[in-house]
Amino acid sequence: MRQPGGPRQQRRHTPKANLSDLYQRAFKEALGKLNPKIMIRNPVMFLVWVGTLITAVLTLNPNIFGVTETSAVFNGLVTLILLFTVLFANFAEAVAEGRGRAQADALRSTQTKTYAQRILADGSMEMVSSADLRRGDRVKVKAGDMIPADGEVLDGVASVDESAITGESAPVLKEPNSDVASSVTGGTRIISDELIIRVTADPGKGFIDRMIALVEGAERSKTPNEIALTVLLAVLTLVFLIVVATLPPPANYINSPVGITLLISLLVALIPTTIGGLLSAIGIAGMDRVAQFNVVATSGRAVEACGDINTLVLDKTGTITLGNRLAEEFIPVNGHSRAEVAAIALAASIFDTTPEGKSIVRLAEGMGATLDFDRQKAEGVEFSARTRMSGTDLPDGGEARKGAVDAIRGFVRSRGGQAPEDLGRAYERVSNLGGTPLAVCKDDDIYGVIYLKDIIKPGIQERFDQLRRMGVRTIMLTGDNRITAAVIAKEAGVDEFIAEATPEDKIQVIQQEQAAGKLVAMTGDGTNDAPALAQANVGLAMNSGTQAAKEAANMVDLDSDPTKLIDLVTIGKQLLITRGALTTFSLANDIAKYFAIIPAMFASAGIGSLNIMGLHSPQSAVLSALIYNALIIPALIPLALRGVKFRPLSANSLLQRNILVYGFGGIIAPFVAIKVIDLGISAF
Amino acid sequence: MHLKSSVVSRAILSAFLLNLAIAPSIHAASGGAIDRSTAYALGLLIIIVLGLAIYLAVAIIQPERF
Repeated sequence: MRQPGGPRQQRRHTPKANLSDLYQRAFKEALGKLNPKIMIRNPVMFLVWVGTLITAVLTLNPNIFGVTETSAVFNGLVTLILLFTVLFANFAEAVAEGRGRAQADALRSTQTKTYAQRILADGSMEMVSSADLRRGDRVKVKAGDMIPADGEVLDGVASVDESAITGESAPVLKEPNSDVASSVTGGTRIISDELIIRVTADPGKGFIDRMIALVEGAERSKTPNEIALTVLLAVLTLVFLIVVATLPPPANYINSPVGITLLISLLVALIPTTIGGLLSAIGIAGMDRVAQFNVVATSGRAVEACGDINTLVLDKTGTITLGNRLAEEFIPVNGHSRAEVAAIALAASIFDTTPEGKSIVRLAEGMGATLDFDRQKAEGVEFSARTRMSGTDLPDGGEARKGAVDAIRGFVRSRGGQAPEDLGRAYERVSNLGGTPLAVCKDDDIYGVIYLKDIIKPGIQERFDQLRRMGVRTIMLTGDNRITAAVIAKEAGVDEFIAEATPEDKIQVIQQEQAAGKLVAMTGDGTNDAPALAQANVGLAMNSGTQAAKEAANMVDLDSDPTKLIDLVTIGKQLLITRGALTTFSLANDIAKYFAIIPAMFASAGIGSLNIMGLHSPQSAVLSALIYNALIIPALIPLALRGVKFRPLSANSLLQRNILVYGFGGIIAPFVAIKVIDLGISAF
Repeated sequence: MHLKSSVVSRAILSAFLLNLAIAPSIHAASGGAIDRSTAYALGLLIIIVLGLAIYLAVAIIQPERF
């Protein structure tokens, strides 16, 4: 089985996207998006587009709506600036879409039409194209073959190279009836042995197809947050439209009539064009960031939900601690020596191929322990969930066992022995250290306890601290005893833990949290995790997990790294913060534009004192405000695509910080920029 | 597609027909200060603004359509 292979940054992720002609293509697409059928989907920019058409008419005939003071040249310049405003907004969206599409193309390049041997009902085989395979079909694949479709392993054990989708070069072992190794992905290659697979996805509906559709934005629908923001922007736009449309009568009353070009300029300056132009780019870029993280999300809604998560339910093993526990010490009991414990532990572990078993063998051999029997004549006893122990049946008829303390106690009693008094003390000592105690016995005599040390992942405590500061509560679930769980929970810094947990406990915890109005995220890989994954607001399934888990979850991690759930919360929050920050900035910009355009509009009404920026002329003031309005969109594209830098702060601290940076900055920046642009214009 | 084109054509025709009612009113209200063609242009502008207001109202009521 593969464990996540090293630091994520060091791995090659999904195929590298070709971004060489991204901007040229985006510019062409920006022009194509001027199609009214496309423009109408963005209420704010559609208004700017209609305004552009009206000023274009005014350029051709400045007096079409009556005699005004604005010249054809001025109207032409306004038309040009408004057109660029719309194009820049379209460009932002096209760049974000282009990045997704480039990634989709790279993924598509991994998909090749292949042929497979379909097993017919009578057991015979027929060679068919992967496009002809349907859900439920059984296929046989052997070393060197490309796996033709997503499926579940029914028979065989084989190594599969999944680097095409995960970037991880180490092959993965696949076998049937396993929670962590029974599903295969179409497009990956089998490199040893052979497998019988039941196809679980029709052509075009496989895992890579879903990922392509996602990054390409083909299935992108607005998230609840985006819908709420669209409503807010539409309300603001409607309010400003009404204000501007009703301005001419009072303007005429004070003998300061306003031309249509100036009214359109005021309207465009006041409506939230910056966020209106960047809104979809922010959403697309958020999905793109998730995909670059090697996570497939079923929808933008799931990514956004990550940002609103209140509670994280995490498995201890693999998420909080490294998957492999290592033997640290032998603790003798019942008057035995440490060397005797080492010898029996070695005998009980010699057939154990798990990392824990191997570490026991290493520790015992390091202490000089040797086998005093012929290994060929002994027989290994595998661990089972029922017996909770494993060991060796020795050639002389003896039985060496190691396992859970309770299980070994029962085993010894069944052989007529008694558990020594100091066994409980050794058990508590190991548990208090946060380790897992394994008792070692031979026949009716308990020799001692093995201290299996759980290694907490480096840096996990800081991550939980960050989550706590963000207001996210962490709950650890573990099958360990209560003492061990408490120690690990304290060391790792989780807020709560549930010891001796069963898979059913997961769904119970999630339901309790949801009943308290919390949004819950969890990870899982087994079929028994599927109900909890479906119940959670964000369910992250491991790619190495079962098909049932992957179908129940709304996200799948291709790297099978459960720690990534914490990163996803960060990405989700970053998406929401970016949207909020740019909305604040866009609305704060209005103040400076108001001070630029209103004095210019009513110059003859004696409100020159409102020209606090000292702009050169009414025309240059309007043009400066509109140029700023247009240029700020491309200037903010990198921020929209990259996202605002995320800081692990509480919601209140973040709000205060963003109001200060993007609210206050949004007020100051346009004052400076408009003044500089005005100086530039007046120099000509 | 055909239906959508037909909807747009109908909307444009309705706007022009509506303008046939609005433009004379504007011309009359101005007391002859503006000529007839300007009145028609202003009438069309008013219809466009009203259309945009209705469009924005729809965007507020049914945002998922946009």
